[in-house]
Amino acid sequence: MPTLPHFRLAAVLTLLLTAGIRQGRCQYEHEIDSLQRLLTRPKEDTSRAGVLIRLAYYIGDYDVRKALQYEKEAYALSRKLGYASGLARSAYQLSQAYMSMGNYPLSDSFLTEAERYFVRVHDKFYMAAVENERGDWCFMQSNYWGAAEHYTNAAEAFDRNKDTISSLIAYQNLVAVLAEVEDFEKAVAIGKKILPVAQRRKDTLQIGYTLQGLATDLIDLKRMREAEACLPPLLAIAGRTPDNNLASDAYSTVATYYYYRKDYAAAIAYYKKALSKAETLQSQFQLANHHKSIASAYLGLNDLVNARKHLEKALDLAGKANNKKAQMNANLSYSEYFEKLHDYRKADQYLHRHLELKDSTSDARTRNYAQYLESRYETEKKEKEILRLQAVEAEKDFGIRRRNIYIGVAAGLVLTLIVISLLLRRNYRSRQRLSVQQARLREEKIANMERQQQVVSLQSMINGQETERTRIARDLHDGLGGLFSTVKMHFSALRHEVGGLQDNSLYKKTMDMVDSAGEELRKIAHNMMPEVLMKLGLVEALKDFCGHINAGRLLHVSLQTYGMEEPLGSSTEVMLYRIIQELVNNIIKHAAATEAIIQFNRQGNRLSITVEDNGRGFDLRQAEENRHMGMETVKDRVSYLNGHLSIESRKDVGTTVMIQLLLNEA
Amino acid sequence: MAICVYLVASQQAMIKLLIIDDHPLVTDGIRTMLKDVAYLEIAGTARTAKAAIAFLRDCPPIDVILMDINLPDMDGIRLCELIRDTHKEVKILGLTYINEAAIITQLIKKGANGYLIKDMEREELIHAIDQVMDGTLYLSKAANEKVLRQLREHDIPGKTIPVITRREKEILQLLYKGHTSQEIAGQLYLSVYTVDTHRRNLLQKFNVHNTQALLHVTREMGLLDA
Repeated sequence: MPTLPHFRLAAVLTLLLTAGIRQGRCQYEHEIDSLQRLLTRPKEDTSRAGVLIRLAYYIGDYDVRKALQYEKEAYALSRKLGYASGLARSAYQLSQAYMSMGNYPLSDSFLTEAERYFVRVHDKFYMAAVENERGDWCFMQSNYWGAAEHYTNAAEAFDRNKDTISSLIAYQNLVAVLAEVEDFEKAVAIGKKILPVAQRRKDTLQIGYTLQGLATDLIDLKRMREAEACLPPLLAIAGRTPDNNLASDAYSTVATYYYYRKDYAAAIAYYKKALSKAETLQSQFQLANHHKSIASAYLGLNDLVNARKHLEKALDLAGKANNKKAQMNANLSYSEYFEKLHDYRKADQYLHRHLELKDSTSDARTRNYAQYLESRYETEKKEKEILRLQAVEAEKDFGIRRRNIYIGVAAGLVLTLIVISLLLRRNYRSRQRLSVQQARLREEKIANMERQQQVVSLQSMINGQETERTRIARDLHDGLGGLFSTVKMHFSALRHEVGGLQDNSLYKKTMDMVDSAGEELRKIAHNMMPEVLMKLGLVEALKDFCGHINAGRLLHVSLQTYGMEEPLGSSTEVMLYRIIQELVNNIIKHAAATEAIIQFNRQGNRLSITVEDNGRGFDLRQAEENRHMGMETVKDRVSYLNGHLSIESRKDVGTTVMIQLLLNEA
Repeated sequence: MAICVYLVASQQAMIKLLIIDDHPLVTDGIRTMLKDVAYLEIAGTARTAKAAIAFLRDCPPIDVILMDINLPDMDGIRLCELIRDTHKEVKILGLTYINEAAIITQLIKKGANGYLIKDMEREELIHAIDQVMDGTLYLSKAANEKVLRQLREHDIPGKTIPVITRREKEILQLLYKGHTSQEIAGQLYLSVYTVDTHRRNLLQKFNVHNTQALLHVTREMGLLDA
């Protein structure tokens, strides 16, 4: 596996004291000259401290040592004068300087001090800048989660201050960190969002950094065509920017592109440009990385002599920079170098050292994982914030004509939004309606289940009742009935044996009473449970029933059955028999009818029953009468069968009762 | 007439009887009534259908079976059918407490030669035995008329014009005027489902398969007249 020759730099994104003044080197030099002229005055006051600080800031880009000297002086002077702002700024810049020199403890102590002073003077800009600086500090020590957290905090703070340009820088740093934790997709996503913001501001520096980050992330994602598109504008910016840091990073990114394209010669050329720009910065970290990248490219060309030369420098500088990542990369490249020399023992040694360093950084990764998760969450929030920033910038930077277009677009958007919201509303409403319907359906289902449960329990109750009736009827027949019959048989034999007994009036009376007792018994038993219903089924039982009624000659009932050849199951048949019994008894009791029809129609599992008379009818609205008519029990039984009952009655025309059932497939 | 039969019978060999009844009292009563009828011999009694079948299989032939139609192990109608399968000649008289035409009809259909209601007089019992031995169907006088009517009805299945209900007539008339189920439902304050049920019932009743045929048939029968 080839070592990744590229690296990324977030740490040196220094913040501008006054936003947007770096237009070109001329203006820049002019500024430095005038500041240096001011220094020739020996007066020790706060303005001198301010001058020193500004001077150091401008020089810092290309002469760190000189800048450090100015900053130390400013710091000492401010302390002497008790000048809080001066102390704060000089401490802040000192922290930056020590960081670029790899002296992290000193950098940290100055930064902490700076923060204390900034808080005291309520300098919101620098309070945010300190957070950004802490992000750099973490980043430099490979604590990417800590870095992500601090950059996010910084971006938030800048946003609160409505400092778009500074928050852009914080975002770029965040992008760099995301790339370090290999969330390239997200890094590219953020990069693509902040690029237009920077472009609209015509801020070359920010455009440059954004493009550089974007190109690097795209290379990592192997989206080479998209990365290639970033290169021309990036090279243009690298060629004219006074910011050597940006130029160095830009060249390095271009070189990396060629490295991945396996155009090692081009890669070396650009890495060397990056190296020359970085040399002015005195950043061991960057230099180490550039040397290492050049070495990798030479390894790609199998130029082992040149590779070795740069590797030595890389390892040395990485040690001086005290940066684990740089050391790690250098060691891995060394391992590859020795592998090419077939010196496997040494290759193994360097690989081992590489892995050791990797492990220690992974430990740090695990340690800061919780922080990382948190910052990831914040990142999501940030994306939304960026969108808002874009909108703000759009409004700010464009003229009225353009704004009108935007207003048009916005109006269109608003209109679309209204349409969408209307649609959503309709959708919501219909969904609500649907959920109401579903709720109703559920309720119905529950009610239905309850009813079914009720039906089942009532059915079993009624079945029990009918079973009991059957048993009693049978006992009456067999037991008591048998006894009566036997009594009669004996009497009959007696009469035969004893002459003249048939003329005995007491004997005759006794015989008649035994007869009528037997008759009564049979009637009771029959009403309890018609034998025929049990033996031959509903239709035969109904025929019998109608036969009995018709024998009375008061009412003629005609029974019509269609599709009733198959039995319905004994409990249903008994239930239906009872219903018909009840309905016909009602007709006899109340209707004063001469004709009645009982009709059964069965089609599949559909059964409809009509019982109709030509009686005087009754008023359905009079519920009391309805109940009186014995309809309640019929209603109950029909509902036990899960059937539908409809009653229609017309005065002096008659009553029609219709029952519709779905039979259970037994 | 009865005397004549009596004389003929007396010249014959004894008539052997089998009583099948789970009720010992009944058997006892029959025995009492028949004890001095010389030509009738109670050859055996059985309290279950199973015992009866075994008796018929294993013992000397029986002439007349007096059989309760309610037996603990089998329905009398079914037993009658079973006996008839193996014993073509034996006469079967059903005994029942009830005067239900449908059951009597079924019993006769399954091969019984007659039936008696259990509170019969001695004379009726002897008369019934004589009648069936003569090859005549004997029906208890109590149910005679009713059973005969029902038997007739069974023999000639509904060649008659179906009776239609008022509701059906209304629906037929509206159908005839060309109304749809929906319109009919609206006019009669019924659900469409109910109207359809009525329409289906009518189709079934007149054994036709579509409304046009139904209207044609019912008009022919004059059922559409008001």
